[in-house]
Amino acid sequence: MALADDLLTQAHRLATMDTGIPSQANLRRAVSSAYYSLFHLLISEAVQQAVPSTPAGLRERASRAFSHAEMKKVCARFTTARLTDDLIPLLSHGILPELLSVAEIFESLQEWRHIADYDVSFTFLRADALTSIGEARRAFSDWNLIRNTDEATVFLAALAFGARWSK
Amino acid sequence: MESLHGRRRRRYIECMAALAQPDLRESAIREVLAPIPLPDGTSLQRLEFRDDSTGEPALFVVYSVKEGAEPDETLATHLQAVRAAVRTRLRAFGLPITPYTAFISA
Repeated sequence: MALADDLLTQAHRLATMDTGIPSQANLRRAVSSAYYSLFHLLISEAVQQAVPSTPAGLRERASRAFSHAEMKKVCARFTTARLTDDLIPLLSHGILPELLSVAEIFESLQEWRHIADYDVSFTFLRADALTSIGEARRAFSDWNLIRNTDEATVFLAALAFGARWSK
Repeated sequence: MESLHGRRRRRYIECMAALAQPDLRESAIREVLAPIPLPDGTSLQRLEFRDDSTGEPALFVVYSVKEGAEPDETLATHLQAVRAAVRTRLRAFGLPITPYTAFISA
């Protein structure tokens, strides 16, 4: 099973493992794992698209070049009401609803991952963690529907280039 | 050339200028969110305009949730629909910043 799938499974296990009042540590790790499952899914797809499979280790090395913050900013460009000039010629049919869903969920999950990892003043509910896991599952499912489209290809390229995309 | 951050901040300022009075801004957004179906015991608690973890202006929509009224998995399905509806409605409204939906215990 791919790392992305493993992380999603782990997230659900963490969110549901406690009987009674759940441990905040388990819920926080569940929220974080839900985000990382989508993060690794998109990185894996982008690297498979852009980087040759040989020499051995090249794709793994390239995977480390992705930046959380830059990926989130790229997603924001696909989710705001108006497409920017650099994307309009490449997305002649606009943004597919499934791609919009993936980008929006990535933004949301990353913010909640940040809160889960760093903001100890926030108390997570089990339902909250399960909501993030459900969103990650939805993103996986939406991605599978569009992963072979031109729009998905543009999205992956933008994720890979990050801040340099709009130069 | 204006940076992405600059463009988004300018659009945020434009939108917020259009909704210049904080009370009007909040009231307009509450009106947009009002039709979203909520699980029993869930209600809109507050709106928070602040930067997100990457320093971008954002809106945090905070709902209070009554736990225990239904199984957590069922409640989560409903809350997932709420999050999606908040994003869809605020995008259609033209909000130029990212909305995040938080759930706190009632």
